[in-house]
Amino acid sequence: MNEMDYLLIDKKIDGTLTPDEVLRFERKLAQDADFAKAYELQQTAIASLQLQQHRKRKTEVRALYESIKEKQAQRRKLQWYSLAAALAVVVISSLAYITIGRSSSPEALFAQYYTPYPVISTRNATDRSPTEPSDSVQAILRYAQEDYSAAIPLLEDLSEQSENIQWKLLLGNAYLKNNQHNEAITSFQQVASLADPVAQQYGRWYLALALLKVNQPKDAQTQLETITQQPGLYQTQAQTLLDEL
Amino acid sequence: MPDLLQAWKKQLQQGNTEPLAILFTKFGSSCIRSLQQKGCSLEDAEDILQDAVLIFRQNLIDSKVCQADKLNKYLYTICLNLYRIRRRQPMLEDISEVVGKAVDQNRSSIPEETVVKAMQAFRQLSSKCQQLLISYYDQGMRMDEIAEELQLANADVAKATKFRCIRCWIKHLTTLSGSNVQIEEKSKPNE
Repeated sequence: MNEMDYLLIDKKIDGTLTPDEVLRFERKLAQDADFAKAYELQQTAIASLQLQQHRKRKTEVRALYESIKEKQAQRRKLQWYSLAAALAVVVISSLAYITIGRSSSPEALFAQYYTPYPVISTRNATDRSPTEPSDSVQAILRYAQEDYSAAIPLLEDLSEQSENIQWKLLLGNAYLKNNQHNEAITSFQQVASLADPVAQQYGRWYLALALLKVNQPKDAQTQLETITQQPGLYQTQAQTLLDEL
Repeated sequence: MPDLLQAWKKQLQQGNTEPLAILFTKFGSSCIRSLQQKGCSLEDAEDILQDAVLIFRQNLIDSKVCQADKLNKYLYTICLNLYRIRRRQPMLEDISEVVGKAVDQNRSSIPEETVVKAMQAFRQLSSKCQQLLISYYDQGMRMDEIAEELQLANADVAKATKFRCIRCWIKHLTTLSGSNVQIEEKSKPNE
């Protein structure tokens, strides 16, 4: 084996033999056992290198694929987390909306805005009452003591006997506190239908609140809108309540 | 070959696996899904996809991939052929030869002992020789590209260096294998 033989083998493996060289190669391969062995050895060595490189690449490709798969799984997980977070935001917003909605419910607004018609003094009541002072004083005392079931019969008598709107307002409030809603509404409607604009505003205000209490917000709204159109004690408060409604 | 594929080829020859990552990311899922629809298990489908990507890589290096806009179909065809080979069904289209080459590499008839010895002898070469032989025989680089890569004067110098390297390798291998092929001392490569 000389250098020319190795060159011939090298060119054969590279596929660069000339036609003459092909003939020479075939002849050498058939006649020279060492040449044939050297050729086989070189072929095997190169094939081994290619196989080894292929295996190495296969391992690399497997690792690459696994890392991409893991990244994609992480991305999918992240997408699920994002979706869950978005859902949580929606749920929380809905809950907040419901909670806010509840705080603005007619019942809640009633609780927020309602204060019972105040009693200034028993003397004031007796001064204005044409009936027996003791009845009016007793009615007012019971009302002030929040003993509404006792106050109601006394106030019913007083409101029938007197045209003073105070008794009707007190009676309506006593009904309301005693959970006699329909009676309360009737009392306030009577006050609201009076010609006196001050009495009208008191009547409409308590009527609106009583309507809220019985969950009739639309009717309450009508009353409140009327109040806001006239100057008076409840004009501003009625507007605020309307806004919240 | 389109610019994209040229750039990919160069990247792969330099050992950069980014193009393969792109293939996996863009087309991997659809290939696996299609194979599964044909009754392939997930594990087999993943294995086939990995082999297909390797074949794609080899075809790209051999300049056998021409259309950058049909890579999905190309990769899927390789997958399908590999699947058919596994099921012993006839292959599709004209890439069967390339697929066959890759499969031959998988089911190589070279005894493991020979591979081990060949690689043992290979590792005795200088790193420059190793790089040159890998570039030429495995990565399919041309001599002018190798000359540039290894900072050799020109393609002829690279060719001469390759000849010396392979002679040296065969000499080491002969020693390891106890082969009686005689190597002339005068042709000992200057590593």
